[in-house]
Amino acid sequence: MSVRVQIQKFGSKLSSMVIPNLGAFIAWGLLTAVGIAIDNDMLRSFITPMLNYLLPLLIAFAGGKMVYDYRGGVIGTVATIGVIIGSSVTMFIGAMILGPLSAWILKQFDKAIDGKIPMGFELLVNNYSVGILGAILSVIGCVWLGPAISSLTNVFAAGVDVLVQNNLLPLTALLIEPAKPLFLNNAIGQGILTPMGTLQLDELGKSVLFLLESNPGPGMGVLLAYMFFGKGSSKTSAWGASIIHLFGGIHEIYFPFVLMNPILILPLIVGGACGTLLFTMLNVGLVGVASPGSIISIMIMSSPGDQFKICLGILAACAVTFVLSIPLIKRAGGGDDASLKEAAQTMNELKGKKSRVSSVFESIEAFDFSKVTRVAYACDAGIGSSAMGATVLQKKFKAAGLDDITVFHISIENLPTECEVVVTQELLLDRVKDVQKNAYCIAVTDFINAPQYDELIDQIKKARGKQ
Amino acid sequence: MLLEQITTKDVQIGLQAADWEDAVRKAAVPLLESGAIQQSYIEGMIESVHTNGPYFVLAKGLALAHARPECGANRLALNFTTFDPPVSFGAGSNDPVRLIITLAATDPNSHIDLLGELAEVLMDDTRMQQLFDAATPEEFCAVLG
Repeated sequence: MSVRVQIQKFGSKLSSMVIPNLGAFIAWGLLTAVGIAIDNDMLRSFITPMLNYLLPLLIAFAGGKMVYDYRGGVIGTVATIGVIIGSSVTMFIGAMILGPLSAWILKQFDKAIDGKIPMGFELLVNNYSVGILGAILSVIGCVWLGPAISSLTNVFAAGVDVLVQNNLLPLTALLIEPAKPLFLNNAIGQGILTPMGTLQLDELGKSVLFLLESNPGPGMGVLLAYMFFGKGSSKTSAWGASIIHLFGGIHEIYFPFVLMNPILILPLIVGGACGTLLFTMLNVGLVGVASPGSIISIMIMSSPGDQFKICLGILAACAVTFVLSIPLIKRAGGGDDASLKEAAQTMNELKGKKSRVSSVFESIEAFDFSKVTRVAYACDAGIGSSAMGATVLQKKFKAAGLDDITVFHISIENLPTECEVVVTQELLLDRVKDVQKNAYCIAVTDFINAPQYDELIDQIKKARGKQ
Repeated sequence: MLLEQITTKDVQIGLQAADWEDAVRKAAVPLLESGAIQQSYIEGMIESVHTNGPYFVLAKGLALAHARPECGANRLALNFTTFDPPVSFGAGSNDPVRLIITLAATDPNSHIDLLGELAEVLMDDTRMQQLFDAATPEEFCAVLG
């Protein structure tokens, strides 16, 4: 497995603990900003409990649930309350470690006793295993982990302080801008900058860290350059892309433009650095996470009075990137249709799944069958028809030598799920498509002898053969 | 082999039904009598066809009638019922249905091994035909396992 994929996986684990909870971060940011701005005691009384308890516990729950479902979430939350109580700093890092870790411990415990519980005692054992393990872990967290993680958090925070005080923050653009088109943006933005920024918020009332990754300026500069100096489809798609990028805040949309001409990373880095330099010089910040990185959410989250200065920073980043990109785009001949298609394809490969924005580049029709590892078989109840169909399909995969593909059955209610292909009954196809937008959907009428099974196997074999 | 636990009392041969609703009800009677399901489970199965269409008609001539566990399934149980004449479910090319397998399951996973064995049989056209044509429960069970 390549380093990029490993980082991406680790990053997506970090960010998947934060992303589901962004709403809570935003609520906290709004309450804090308004509470301080109008100096209201009631609103200000929200700040500390939400920051110290609600947000870390939510992260812990998401982290635990990721590893071991709802039970994992519960034990992760219980264990994390220990580190929160045992330390004086906000326990985001503690939650990110203890949430998944304690869920993993519980999972191992459950595996070890699987099948050894006398019938009728399952509920008792299940409840008390979480209760007892959770209590032990939270005490361990309070006594040993809390202080250790406190010092770790302090080291990180001190590192950020050093960067801020010496005006070194613009250097982070060296890391952030190249990382974004490689789909490490969430790892950096949500996994690192959001928790660190929140710590700063506690101290300073606003943080510039929230602006580093969410700044739409550099990407906008590249898109503008293509709008004026690109050719063919890259010129026309750049218009639509820039709207989605700037107002929708979906930065993925500019990645293909960079991937088809990777030297554009340079203007992006310089532009990003200029933007950040201005942000730090003007001493601006956001009072909460701006996610997605849309100009609208940035303006909403701007610290009161900073809006104009922040716009200035974004504009500067955009202008610098724009100007520097022009010669590079001209040199590359403006990019033709084929290379944009290809780049959009590369983008999906980098992301490891179909990106939500690739449909904008209409060229991407072909589904990449070589990537299929998980097939969901969906029906209404998730009990009978789908279970039968999944069994049959799994047997067929096995017979075809595609042992690494898992087929599982699921109720449509529980979609979307992690999978590349969904098989379902013809009558249920629309419902599946409604909820699972990123997967390749197959409709069958005959669950046992569907010709579609063999077609799917053929397609996967063919796609794999090409590599 | 889990299928070996299926005995002749789990099989009904050559029933007649007025329509598909009647067929689903008749096929479920043994499960109701043995306490594996409650009356509400039968209504659940019929209701689900009304809302979703006849999606549990799995293949030509075969239906796997079932509802959600919370509709009233008390334990894992299977029943096989063949119909003569076959019954129309409005299921297009899979119509008419000759065999209804009624499944009561209490959770999404406990019956997977059983279904796996069943799939072996159902994927085999010859054995499938023998199930459709079985004249007695004994004959039917012999084909199963």
